[in-house]
Amino acid sequence: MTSDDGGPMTHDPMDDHLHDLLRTARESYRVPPAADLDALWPRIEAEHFDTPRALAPVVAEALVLDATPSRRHRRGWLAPAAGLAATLLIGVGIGRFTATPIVIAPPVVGDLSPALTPTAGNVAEPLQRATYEYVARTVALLDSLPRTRSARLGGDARFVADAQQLLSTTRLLLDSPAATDPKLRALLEDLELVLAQVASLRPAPRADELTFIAEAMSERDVVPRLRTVAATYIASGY
Amino acid sequence: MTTSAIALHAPDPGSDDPGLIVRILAGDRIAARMLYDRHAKRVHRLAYRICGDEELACDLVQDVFVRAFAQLATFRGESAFTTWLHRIAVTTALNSMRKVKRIREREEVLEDADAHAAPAREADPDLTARLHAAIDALPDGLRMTVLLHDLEGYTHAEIGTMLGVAEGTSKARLFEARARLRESLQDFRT
Repeated sequence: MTSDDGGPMTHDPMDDHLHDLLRTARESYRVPPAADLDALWPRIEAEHFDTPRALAPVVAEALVLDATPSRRHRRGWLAPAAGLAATLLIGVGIGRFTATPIVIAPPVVGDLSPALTPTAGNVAEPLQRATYEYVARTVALLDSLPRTRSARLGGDARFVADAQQLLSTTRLLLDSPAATDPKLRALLEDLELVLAQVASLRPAPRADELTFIAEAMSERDVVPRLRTVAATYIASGY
Repeated sequence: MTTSAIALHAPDPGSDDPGLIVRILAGDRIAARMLYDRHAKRVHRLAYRICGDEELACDLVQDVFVRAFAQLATFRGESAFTTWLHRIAVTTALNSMRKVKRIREREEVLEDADAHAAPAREADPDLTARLHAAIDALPDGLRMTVLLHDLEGYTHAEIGTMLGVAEGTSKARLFEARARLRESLQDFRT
């Protein structure tokens, strides 16, 4: 036992003995019985992936948009949509106030330009975070888009509702300081076209409707570009 | 080693913790399951060591991962993912225990041990039981520090992060906890 180990050096044999006992306790103290951890997964998966959540809960809480306990635990689509919209509007406002004058970073060939990264000084932190969460949700939505006619859109209107919400978010972002970056702006414009098609899908879409969307996504390379943006945010600590 | 064997052993850049986190944030369920499989066992052990109740420990594992996935976007990589995840586990477990106010099972063992005459300490199973009971009897802050430092092997800096206290506070708590344990085991001295 050393002095930086939680106790002073002493010559008390009890210290050595306690040290030995504690070492033994690593293997003996409250050893958990074998648990079926696989059986715990379905609830975790369902709660995370199948429960509608606010798109920007962290930002919303940070901005005290939704601070009362009863509202924080409310589930459904109205609250997330309203929270996101409010977050973005406030983010846009903050961005405009703090971005004067807005500095448009020079484009960097073959890489994301600095303005697109979360450390860019011309886009406020709340808007950066909202943009990042928007990117993550958009990738998830486009990844889950059915590719065949036989596939239905999840059996309910949530998929389309999500696309409509993301479409609204796209348009808000296009009018925000986040869109000062030319590459992000181009991506948002492409996403606006794709999401507009997705948002107008019926529960049982025709095969050609899905084909048009798939072609639009492929031609514009939107998912890889979105993943690149997401990776940039993650690398910057988001 | 054949080419296929090399391919099988080549690390997948998307399968380390940061790679999985990116995938989860993009809605990848498989990545979420991989991250769960990687960390669930240790979270379960930590939860069980904190609460001492099998059923509650399983509930805590679920709560911890639900919270962790929900907060994943806030993970900034300033600490290891394990430290970040275990901080959630510690907070969730302590809050849960405060809520349910479960009686620590080891308190009964402590009372039983008090009723017995102190035997020789060498190879005495009662000494181990007595130590366990003494750990259980510590106040939460001290017990968590002993548990995390002496039993789980975390550094004081990591414990400070997990418990939301200064590194020096963690050291002071460990000193105090060990002093109390020595006192509890005093009658086992030869």
